[in-house]
Amino acid sequence: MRRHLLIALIAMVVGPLTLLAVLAGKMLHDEEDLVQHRFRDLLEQRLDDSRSAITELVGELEVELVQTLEETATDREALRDLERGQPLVRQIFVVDGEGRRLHPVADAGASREEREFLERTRAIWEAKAELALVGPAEGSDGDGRADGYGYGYGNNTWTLNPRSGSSSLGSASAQGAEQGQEAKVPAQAQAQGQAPAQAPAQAQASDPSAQGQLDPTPAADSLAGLARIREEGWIAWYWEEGLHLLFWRRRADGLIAGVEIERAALLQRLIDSLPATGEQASLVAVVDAKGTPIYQWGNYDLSLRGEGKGGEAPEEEEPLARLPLAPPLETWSLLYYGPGDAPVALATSRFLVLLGLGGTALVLLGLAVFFYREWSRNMREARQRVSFVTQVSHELKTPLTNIRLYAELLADELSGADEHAEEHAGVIVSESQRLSRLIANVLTFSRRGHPTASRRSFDIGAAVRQAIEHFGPAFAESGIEATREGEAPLPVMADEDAVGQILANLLSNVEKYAGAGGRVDVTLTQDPQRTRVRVRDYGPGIPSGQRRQIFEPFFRARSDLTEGVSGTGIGLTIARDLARQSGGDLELRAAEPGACFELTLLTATPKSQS
Amino acid sequence: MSMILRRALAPLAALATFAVLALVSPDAAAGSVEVRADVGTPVMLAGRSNTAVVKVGLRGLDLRGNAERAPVNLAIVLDKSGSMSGEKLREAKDAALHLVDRLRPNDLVSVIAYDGRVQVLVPATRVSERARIAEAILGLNAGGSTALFAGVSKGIGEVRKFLRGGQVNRVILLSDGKANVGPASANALGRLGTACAKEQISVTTVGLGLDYNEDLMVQLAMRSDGNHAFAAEASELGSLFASEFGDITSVVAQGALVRIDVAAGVRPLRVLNRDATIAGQTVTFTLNQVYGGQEKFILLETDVAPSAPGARLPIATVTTTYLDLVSGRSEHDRRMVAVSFTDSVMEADAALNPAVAIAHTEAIANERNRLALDLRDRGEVLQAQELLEDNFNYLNTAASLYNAPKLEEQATANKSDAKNLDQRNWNKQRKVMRKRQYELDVQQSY
Repeated sequence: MRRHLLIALIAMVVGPLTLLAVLAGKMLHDEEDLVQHRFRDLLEQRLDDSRSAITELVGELEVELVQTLEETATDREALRDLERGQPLVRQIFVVDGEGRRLHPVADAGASREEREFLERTRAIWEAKAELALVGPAEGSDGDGRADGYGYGYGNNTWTLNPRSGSSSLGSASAQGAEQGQEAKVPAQAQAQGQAPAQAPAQAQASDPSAQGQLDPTPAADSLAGLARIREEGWIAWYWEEGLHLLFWRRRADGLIAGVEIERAALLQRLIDSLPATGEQASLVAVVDAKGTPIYQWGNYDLSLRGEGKGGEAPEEEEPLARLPLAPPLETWSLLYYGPGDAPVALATSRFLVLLGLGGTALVLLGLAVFFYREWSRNMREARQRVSFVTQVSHELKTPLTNIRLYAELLADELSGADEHAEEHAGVIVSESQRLSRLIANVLTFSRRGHPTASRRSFDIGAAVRQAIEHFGPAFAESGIEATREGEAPLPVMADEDAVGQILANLLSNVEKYAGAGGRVDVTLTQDPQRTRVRVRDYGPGIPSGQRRQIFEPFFRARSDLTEGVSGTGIGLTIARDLARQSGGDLELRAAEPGACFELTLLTATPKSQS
Repeated sequence: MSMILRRALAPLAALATFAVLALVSPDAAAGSVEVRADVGTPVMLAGRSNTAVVKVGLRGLDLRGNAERAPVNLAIVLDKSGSMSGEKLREAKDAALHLVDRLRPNDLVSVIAYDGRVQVLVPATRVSERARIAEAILGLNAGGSTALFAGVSKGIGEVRKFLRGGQVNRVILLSDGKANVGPASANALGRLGTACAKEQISVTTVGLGLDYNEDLMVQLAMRSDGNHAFAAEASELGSLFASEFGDITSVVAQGALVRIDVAAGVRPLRVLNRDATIAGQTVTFTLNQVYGGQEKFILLETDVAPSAPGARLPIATVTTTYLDLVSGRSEHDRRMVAVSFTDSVMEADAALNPAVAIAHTEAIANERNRLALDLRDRGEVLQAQELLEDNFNYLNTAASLYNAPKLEEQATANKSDAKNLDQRNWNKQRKVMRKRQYELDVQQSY
């Protein structure tokens, strides 16, 4: 009993706690996602400021370049003078509408720098590479890039793809480029405010011609092709130290003028447009396509979490946020490293959840302990009461036996002498018998769980007869006629005292509750295995809803029935306990009217007798 | 941005001005710069092709007595990486403080410190706020790696904030280590130098100790027309900065563009000592600034076609434009170099220009010194040694021939180079040689 209660109490505590913990875990997980997401958004917003600075820088550069390229004279001297004066220009080139390069040309008058430039960019001039369109449409975050350079100029970068040796592959990639161009045209037209209807037509017209010219002429066919559908653009390619950029513009006079950007100067300006290290607690790095930092600022020390040494290499730690730059530098990214405020916020909510869980656990535990203590106290008190009652009953038993003995003697002595006195003595006897039964019941009940029955065979018929006789005076008084039917030639195997007590309890109930029926039938049936004693009255019976409960201790059937009748509520409980201890059972059988209890006992076989 | 471009276009404007003026008066009055164009062999042997060495030199007038000097726009970029801690950084701070002390109130200065990241300690500001500048410099602590490119970039950025003609724009870069964050190749820094030169910003590079990358530092200085110095010990920084200050404050002209148009029948072969552009018959080179009292020159080797004796042949026209910082005007200069031909070896020898010959010898020897360094880099120590010994003899012979103690000094230096090619000395020796090569190439004053 105690163990059951403990398990129940533990379940009461652990069950809700587990449920709560699961819910809290889920909540925290969701919250973590949310906080991380929000945090990343915030960081990306911060990075966006830096990106805007770079975007603005490139945008201004575009404007300047467009102006310079439009205005410059295209003779050699003028172009060279321009190169000399422009920090951001490494080399200028001019191509005519048919794709013939006008400057620089590798004749006797070319300088070393010009020859080197032609060497660097040979892929473009010898059509060894496609100028494939790489634009926002291909990027996953096209929306983010769409706001690239706020001047409405080229948002796209052409990337130089080395062309494969096989011609079939070459044409395949040319087709790819063609598709890319066609797909891109409407967007360009919008960006540049050209007539959209005109642009696709131009594109279609230009593509086949561009393709047709690809092979023999050592000129910028691809560039000329591009220039037919666009006014200007960037070309990116990798050479030695990394990303190099060309910017070209189709001039009003039809010439295509372009510049090779001085990479170091662009980097210098990019770095200069970004913040220096000051009070920032984070670290932001601009990294190239390979993830190598170009510039970084902020005070966050990566070595704290990194390898310990060489903490300046940001690739060791995962950045909290990453934002690619706008074209033409789209292969570069801004990375944000920092102590991460998100874990702090999360730690707070985690702490709160744990606090709530802990609090709930404490309350539940407190309740459980309280209930357990209450229960133990009740149990202790009940045990004390029971032991008190048992002791008192014991104490009562001896004097009562004496009273009964002497009352019976007295009744015998008075027999025939004084009718009144004899009657009085009879009452004393019957009442003391009743009291004896009561005490026997109480003592039996107090010994519940410690069976003491000793089985032996005896004549059940005699026992039944004796019991009925015993109740003769009481039944006579209540106006109950008792009948006995059936015979039991074989003895039964049971505790004779227990069987007597069972029958007494059953008959006592009949006397108490079924007097109105005026009759009780006690029927004996026997087969070699079982002997059955049926006690059937014709009283009010037991309501069908209570049939299961009547054997529970301290249960007394419906109130109108038990009203005004004294009783302990343990009679049937004890009766069934005793029947089971003797290897039999006591059951309620259906009967109308009244109630019928059937006591089953083992029939004593000759074998078991011996 | 447009301002920057406009400024960058200033030399173009100067050129245009010159073009107009040149038409009016071919030989204009001299400004603060004295231009000389000489040929080493004014009289050549007839009937054979000759190599003529043309030396074009620009000498600024020495105006040190003059109270007026061009305002300075200076960025001091200090390495504060971990290796700088202790005495090095202390000396560097001291040197920077002294430099700032000697500037005038209307000069501009900015101080940048870099390790793996860059701090702008003092954004470009008037020197009048000395206390604040000093405080920022003194508060500097060492630690971290070396983002050299980013450091110089910020320095250039600070100078560019107040970029205008008529002032000396200079970044002084101090580094004691190899760049390891951001672009770090000699080529990348060289390209940055080229871009700077186009804006008349020069970067003077000071290598401290034995761990810096001398190739990178030399490239950056050379392409931007700055100085390069090597301080083996931190204690030398003070005097180096002082020398640099002397140079900065002696600038008399800026944005000098020299254009040598080589005449027909003459073919430009190579420029020995400077980064000049040869395109067809035209050779151009630029000097960001011309220092007072110093001559900066280039040596152009040309191939002259055979001529008859007695003939006189103009071999080159030298036109120079520059911004005179004293007068504030764009100046130009135009002169012709011519040779005559003879059959007499005596006559030819007698006419020899020793100054050009000495410079030529010096440059040739310097070229060979560079070659020796390359050989040593490839591990060919013996060949390098041999070349340097040979150089020693070559220089000594020339020294006695032209009676030039300068060449003797160079000979001694080559001798000492030859002795120090072993592994133990090489790190320092290489820096010494690079420094000397650069010094000779650009006629650095210190």
